[in-house]
Amino acid sequence: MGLGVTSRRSAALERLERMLGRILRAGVLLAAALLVAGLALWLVDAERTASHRLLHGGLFALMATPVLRVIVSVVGFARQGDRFFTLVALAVLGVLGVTAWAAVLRL
Amino acid sequence: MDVLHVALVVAGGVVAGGIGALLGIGGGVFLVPLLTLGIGLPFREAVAISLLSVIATSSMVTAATAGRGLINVRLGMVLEIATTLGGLTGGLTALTLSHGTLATLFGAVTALIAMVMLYQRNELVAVFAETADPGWLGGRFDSRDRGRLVTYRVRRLPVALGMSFVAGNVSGLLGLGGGILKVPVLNAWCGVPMRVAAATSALMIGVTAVATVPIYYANGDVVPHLAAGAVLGVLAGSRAGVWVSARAPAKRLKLLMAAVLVAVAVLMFAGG
Repeated sequence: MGLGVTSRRSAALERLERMLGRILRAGVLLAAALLVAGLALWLVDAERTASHRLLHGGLFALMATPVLRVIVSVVGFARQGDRFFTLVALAVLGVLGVTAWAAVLRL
Repeated sequence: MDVLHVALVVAGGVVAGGIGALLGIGGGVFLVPLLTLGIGLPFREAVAISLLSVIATSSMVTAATAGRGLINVRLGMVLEIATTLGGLTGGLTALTLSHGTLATLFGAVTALIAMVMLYQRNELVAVFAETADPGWLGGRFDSRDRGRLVTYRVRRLPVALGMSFVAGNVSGLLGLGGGILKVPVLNAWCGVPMRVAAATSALMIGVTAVATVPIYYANGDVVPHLAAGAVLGVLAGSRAGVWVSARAPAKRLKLLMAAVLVAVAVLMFAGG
């Protein structure tokens, strides 16, 4: 296994990393915008219905960012033909799914 | 009163986010004591808020350190199986424990970690030449301490997995990022360089928190305006933290982490 193969793998991994970074940043900015709007509204809104909707929306967007990140990893590993790590990432997604399911059950 | 609470929470978030980003530990170790001892929130509400701010820190730090060869995505993904299972378990278990029990547990865990950190302080990781094979989980990175590109290998994966599961439980029960446990273990026992361990851990704690927080959400433990305040404060604080951490040498990071933990443990034992 020559250095050529390894550095190609590293370059591909780095591209994956940078895409993850961009997605995370976008998600967090969206969440922050919703939270700022929600909080600002909360300070003036007596009823608190609209502001709560914005706040919960922002929090959901925030919670989505790591999930999105795992999904992107699944796609990234699959594209590289790395079956083992694709399965690993899918397993992580599976556990997150179980948590969501457990939460829904309690509701 | 409500507005004052939000202001306090924002300030706490800034501090927690700053130090969290600097050390790659998610900041929950500050935020939970502040919320329970400082503002008097019930433990579960504080944990829920802390978990959400951990997600914020995690995503911000990861976005900032991505593409620099510091995050070991493969190692992170493997360990995340263990941490997410731990988070799920911890989150469900927390439903059965009382405020007092959790506060004591918090102090105990923090004290234990502080001791581990102080004991492990001065270890530089064994690295190999740039052209060496990193194995299926290791990697290469530009070591500032050594001034060149080095290769590292991951050792004792079972230890890393076991500790990741424990860290996940800690996260689910106490609202800590869990990176507090992972980073020292990865660095001292598993051969991962400090900066890589911190960056990879910062990535992992977000996923771990998402494996737990839905349970708290469903249980009604999320106070939206306080959570929003904490998250926004943490986002502001972690920006500053990332800027500083790029300029701090690895050894001083460990010292700072140990000092922080000792202070927190004392506080939680005294007030919990």
